Amino acid sequence: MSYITTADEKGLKRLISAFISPPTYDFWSRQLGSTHAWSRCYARVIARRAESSNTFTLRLAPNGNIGRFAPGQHVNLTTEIGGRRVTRSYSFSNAPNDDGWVEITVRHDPSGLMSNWLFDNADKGTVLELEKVFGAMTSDTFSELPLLLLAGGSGITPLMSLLREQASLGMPRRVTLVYWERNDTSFCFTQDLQAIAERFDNFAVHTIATMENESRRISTAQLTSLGVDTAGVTVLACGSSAFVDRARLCTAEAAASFQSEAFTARPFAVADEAPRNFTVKLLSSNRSIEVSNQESLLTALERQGIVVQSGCRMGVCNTCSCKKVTGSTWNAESAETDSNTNSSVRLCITRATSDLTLAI
Amino acid sequence: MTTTISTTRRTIEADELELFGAEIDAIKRSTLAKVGEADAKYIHRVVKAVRYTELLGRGFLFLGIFPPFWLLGTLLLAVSKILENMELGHNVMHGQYDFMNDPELNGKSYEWDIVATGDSWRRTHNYQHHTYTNIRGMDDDIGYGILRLFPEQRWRPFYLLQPIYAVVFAVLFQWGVAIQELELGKMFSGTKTKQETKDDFAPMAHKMRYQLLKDYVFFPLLAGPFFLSVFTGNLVANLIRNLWTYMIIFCGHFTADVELFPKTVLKNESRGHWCQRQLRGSSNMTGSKFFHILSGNLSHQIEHHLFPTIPAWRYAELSVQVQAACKKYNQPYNTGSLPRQFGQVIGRILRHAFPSKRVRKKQLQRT
Repeated sequence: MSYITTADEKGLKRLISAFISPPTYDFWSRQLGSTHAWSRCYARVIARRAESSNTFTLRLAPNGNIGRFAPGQHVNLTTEIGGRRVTRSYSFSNAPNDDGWVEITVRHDPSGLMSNWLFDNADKGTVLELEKVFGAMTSDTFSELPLLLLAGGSGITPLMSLLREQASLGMPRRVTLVYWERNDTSFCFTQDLQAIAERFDNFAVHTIATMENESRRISTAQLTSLGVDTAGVTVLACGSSAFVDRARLCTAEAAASFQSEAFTARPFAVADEAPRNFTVKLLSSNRSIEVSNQESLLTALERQGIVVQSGCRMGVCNTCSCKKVTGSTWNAESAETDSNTNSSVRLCITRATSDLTLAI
Repeated sequence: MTTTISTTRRTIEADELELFGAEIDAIKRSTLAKVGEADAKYIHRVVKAVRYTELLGRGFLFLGIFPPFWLLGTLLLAVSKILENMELGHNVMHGQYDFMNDPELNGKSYEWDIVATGDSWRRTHNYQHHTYTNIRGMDDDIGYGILRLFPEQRWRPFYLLQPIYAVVFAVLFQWGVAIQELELGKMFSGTKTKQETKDDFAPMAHKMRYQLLKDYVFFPLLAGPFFLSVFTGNLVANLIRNLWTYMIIFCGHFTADVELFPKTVLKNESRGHWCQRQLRGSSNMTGSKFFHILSGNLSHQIEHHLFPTIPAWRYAELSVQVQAACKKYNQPYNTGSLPRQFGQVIGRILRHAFPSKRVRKKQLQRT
């Protein structure tokens, strides 16, 4: 990050940057109570509403630096908690609009650092930072194939965004939503879903409270009994990694396409590896440390007091990504070994399978 | 028999030194465990102070046609620049606030408001100076390649002029720091080509141009008819910062009892030896809380060298523990008032302008 004027700054911005640096500019903007910023995206909470017993939606007014998002995409949300900036990814739950606001829906987990903080603190007026819109689970607008949305718990949020977009387009294709929650009070968007179902004949919604009952979890038999047709449809599934894995088993074969997004990282699988230590050489600090192959590189580095920028800690946000100069690593997400030189690794979902050199 | 006794004593000293090192490390760990919200609050307050003093300073300078406003504006701007340079920039660039995960306070990317580039500083200061503190031939901060401050440095006739050019260097200190990495001496002696020097200079030139334009063209122009009052105010504020930082930094390593080390100390240097070298190569200053803040807490140079990555505002509380450890293990702890320490620095500049020989003192223990 260089604050010195560069040729790509134009007009007024270029003129201002001759006098003050972007951090100074942002500082005074904040002091004056504005969310306006040089290049970062700050957003003010303009409304908060409960969606279920433990879920709430925040309507945010971002400044002009947010990019457009497609339904089904996520955004990194950052705030300072206890002196440290913490980042987590949340899905947009609204359909894109031109009214200058976006919505995210948060499930309150008392043991979750961010959701707990948001539950206690985020209210009208709170300013949060948004970064990087991302996510590949978006529907193909031009496709006419029926859409089957499978939502496990808070996996409903990106699918809600997709559904709302279909509704705003007049529901041009048949859409079926099957939505599982742990218990009856956890269902979100109940009224909205009902309203959409009343408006459009070609939309059907099924809600299932599993109540910790194995037989109520997603299965082929269950989908059949609900009359859900999986043949030739486009399936979008979102939920925990266990849910997504089961959804894939039930539908992927018959469906025309299957896309999914899991919001909890797969358990850090190391089962078949004997515990062993490797040496990691850190280039810019000129240090060498010992790490175990039983934990992620991020955890291992932090254990040795090395501060690395990190965010979601589940391989999503790319904040902890760094260059691996030499050595081989195992990626828990793709379940693949990477032995390339100068490749980019996300430290939170990567473990060492040899001695390494990292450009940090 | 005598051999046995001296070996035993040396072993005891080496063991004690390792215990001393272990105690310093324990102090470090217990303090690092406390780093968090309070430190974030502190540095946010420092940022606020830097911004507000700058705004007020520049504001008063715009009204600088009225002399008291010019003086007030200049002083406020100088305070802002000193704070930004020392308590904010220097400490942030050491990574003291990296735990916050804040891109604006990140040690690796912070760019400060002086002509020296942050990247060059990270190499010459964070790496060379902090790793090879006071080792002759490795730490370029020893006299910055132009001053002779220790008898171990070879005397040459041009050092006779150093009482004069030491003052010039103080006045232009930020420029000296900016081009330190160029190692112009190497170009003149032919070990570095002109092209290499030119390439190294490119990023420096970019930063220098930006700083010069900002303080001496853009802001004065913004003041319209008061161009000159803003121009001179900025010039004097930069001068005050140069003199202040020069004084603080020289007092940290060039007081009377500070030692210089030969490269051989690096051979098998243990943790205890490293701590001892930092201790004997640095000196502290006593003063008020405000003085410590304005010095970027480099008035606690010893603690800064022992704990460069711990937020500097904690050095005062750390110094109590370090002094106790020094007392316990019979290690020197060099501290004194600003006039006393700076007097000793001036003494060195004057004395070693002339040929001088090292007075044999107790050497660093090597076992």
